Order: sequence, then structure tokens, then C-alpha cells
Amino acid sequence: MADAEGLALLLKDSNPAYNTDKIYLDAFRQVTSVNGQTYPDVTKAINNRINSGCLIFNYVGHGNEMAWHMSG
Amino acid sequence: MIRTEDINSWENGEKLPLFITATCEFSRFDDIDINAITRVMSGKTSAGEMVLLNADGGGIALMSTTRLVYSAPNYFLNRNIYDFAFDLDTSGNALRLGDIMRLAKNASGSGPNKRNFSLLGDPAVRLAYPWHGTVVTDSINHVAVMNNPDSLKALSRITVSGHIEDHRGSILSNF
Repeated sequence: MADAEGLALLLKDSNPAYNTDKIYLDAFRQVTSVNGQTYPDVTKAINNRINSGCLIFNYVGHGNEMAWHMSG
Repeated sequence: MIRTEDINSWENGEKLPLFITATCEFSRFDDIDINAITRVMSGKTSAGEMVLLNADGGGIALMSTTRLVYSAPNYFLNRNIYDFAFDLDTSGNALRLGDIMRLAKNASGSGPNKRNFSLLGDPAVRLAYPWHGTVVTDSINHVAVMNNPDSLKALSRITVSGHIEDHRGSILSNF
């Protein structure tokens, strides 16, 4: 998270004309089910962000060949 | 959180972003599946490739991880990508994706981590940066904004003046 924040700040300082939009997991509700912990609102937020358009989408976190997720 | 179903569901049409994904193996483009019985090998499409291949949306390109990576050198490389992504060449044009990747990697030391990052996409492409500048407010009701203008009343007549700057903060006069 410090990395994501650092990148957002870097962009804000060097290129204030661009809008930065941050989606942090911990800012969203965590849902526990038989499939483990998920963040359905984060999925929605990211999908909305992509569908409404952006210049650069930067993901910082765990992932693998099939997904981005929070457990690593 | 985001799975391949999500990636394939994106319908962002012509608004294709550049994806920077500092996460392990997201775009491992050269992986294969081996059938346990027949031993037949078949190509395996990674999530990163799906971002590119989605016909209704996805991304214009990815600066993405094709192997295992570590977060500290990722961060360093990521910062360098941002530095060059908003840099201009000598004739004032934005850099091409291939140049951004090359310069960012060269500036990121000699560690092996950066070799696990690849540009998937056309290296000659320039991103669709906004070219028409930013509107900056100078004064409200003839009071400069730095002097904290008073609050505005509903239905009152208000004069707002400003100018247009390019993304480096110099005034554009050709409007």
C-alpha cells in the first residue's frame, strides 16, 4: 500500500493535471464466505473504472496468471 | 478480486488504458498446459494476454510481469515508468511505449527483477494523452484565488477568469 500511495503521490506532484483515482482494498467491505474472503465492491469499482476509461491502470499487489487477488 | 471473467467482461471499447501490473506472472505469455495422459502441449492464455485480446475492450498495451517478481524493485521500476510516461522527447511529443519501457528499465539498475517485466503491445504507440491543456482559475469576482475569495451566493452573478496551461504549467496562448 505504501508503494501504491508513493506512486500516486509521484504522479500528483509531477503531473498535477492528471486525475488519480485510487482503489484500496481496505477501503471496501470484506465479505467472508465459503470461498474465503472477497471484496465484491472492489471488483465492481475496478470494472467500472476500466469501463468508463482511463489513461493508465496500475495494479500493485498479488496475482498470478489467472487473476489479481489479495492472498499471495 | 479481478478474475479472467472480469477481464473478458470489460467493454471499454476505444477507451483502452495502458495496464501496469506489478504482480507475479500476470502476463506469462509463454506458458503451456501439458495434458497429463496424452502429454500433448497446448498454449495457455494468461490473464494479461486476455486484457489485450478482449475484442470489446481491455487495454492498448501492458507493462506487465511475465515471471515471479518482488515488490521493492517493482516499485522502483514503476516509478521510473511514471517518470518517462509523462516525459517529452526533444520535439515535444510524448514518448512511445517502447521508449518508455526501454528508458525505465535502463534506469532501474542491474538487478534481474526488471527482466521479468515485458511490454505487451505495439512499442511504436503513443498513449492518448490529453493535448488540450488544463483550465486554471485565476480569480473569482476579480479577487485572485490565492487571496481566498469569499463564499459565493446562490443565484448571484459571478465572474470567473482563468487561463489554459499545458501539462508542464506553461501558459498556452493559442486558444
